[in-house]
Amino acid sequence: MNFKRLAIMPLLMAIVPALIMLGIEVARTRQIALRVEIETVKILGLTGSVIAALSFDRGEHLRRAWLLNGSCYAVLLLRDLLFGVWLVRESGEPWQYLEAVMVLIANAGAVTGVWMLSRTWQVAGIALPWSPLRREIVRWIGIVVGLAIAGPTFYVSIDGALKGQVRAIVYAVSSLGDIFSLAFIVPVLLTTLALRGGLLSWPWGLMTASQFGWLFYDATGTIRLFVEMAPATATMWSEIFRTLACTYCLSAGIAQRAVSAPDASAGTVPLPKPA
Amino acid sequence: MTVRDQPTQVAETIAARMAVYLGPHTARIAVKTFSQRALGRGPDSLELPDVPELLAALRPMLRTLVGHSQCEIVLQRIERELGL
Repeated sequence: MNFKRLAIMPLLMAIVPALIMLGIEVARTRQIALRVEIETVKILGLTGSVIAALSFDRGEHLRRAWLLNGSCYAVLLLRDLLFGVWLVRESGEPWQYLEAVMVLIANAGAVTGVWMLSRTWQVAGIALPWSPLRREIVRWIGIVVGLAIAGPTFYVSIDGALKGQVRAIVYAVSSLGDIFSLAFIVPVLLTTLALRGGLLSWPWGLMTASQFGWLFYDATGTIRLFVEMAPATATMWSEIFRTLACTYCLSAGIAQRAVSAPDASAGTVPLPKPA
Repeated sequence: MTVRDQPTQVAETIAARMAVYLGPHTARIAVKTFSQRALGRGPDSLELPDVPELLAALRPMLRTLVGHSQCEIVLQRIERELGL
């Protein structure tokens, strides 16, 4: 398995939304192309999560973590299908709240999945790098960054959400999920650092890259609240980061499968040469 | 580190095989932590008769990170390398 290709592939995929936004002039065609791209990368994210989950047996910690992570993509894809084909957003009908419920379920799955990934080091019993104090400081930096990035969207939407506005509920739930997810990036990053030099650093590093993709995706939305930005430019950047997040998740899943594949040759990897 | 604190050849072999997956630093720490936990001794006194007990202690950790199938392959490989 060439792990470097798995790291490069998402960067190439991230060019696609830029090409769509910059290369297609007809608005309707551009909108359709972008929608196809968005759904495709969500399917890739789901595929990566399932591939990784299948590397583990039923009941194992990381199988549940990956399946919960994948459940977010699955529920959002179902939401897109329902509201893209059959249902109408903000129709005034009771089922308009279905979208908010689905976003809540999707975010709950994503947050729980990342939380489980973030505590894998404890479950396994391996040591994280750095002193406990330094780790705690970095963890709090992660929490503050998460609050700074997703907090403003939550603050802006909570008022409308409390009044029952569906779009505001969706944004509030989504940004609350993002705050928690972003707070768990640091332990996932530290696990990657702990595993550096080993094959497992690839799936963990690629999953960390996916989480950073979501962090920048959310940051684009927050920057829009404060900085004048052409809608097309903002959409282009947010879709670039969404593509990175989803495709790095696919890469991480493939890498985990490659490391965990019950293939006898994997156990005969040559030992590292002494330094 | 004194000469007495040096890990034995057995500990080095186990750490080297696990380093393929965990990286050299975490593999060394894991051998140290789990040998103290399972045997009450550090890797400086690890000998062949201690290996089955140590590998049993390492199994849940490896299983969590690489899955059941690969975990068993790695542990069997270690046993083969140590001539068990």
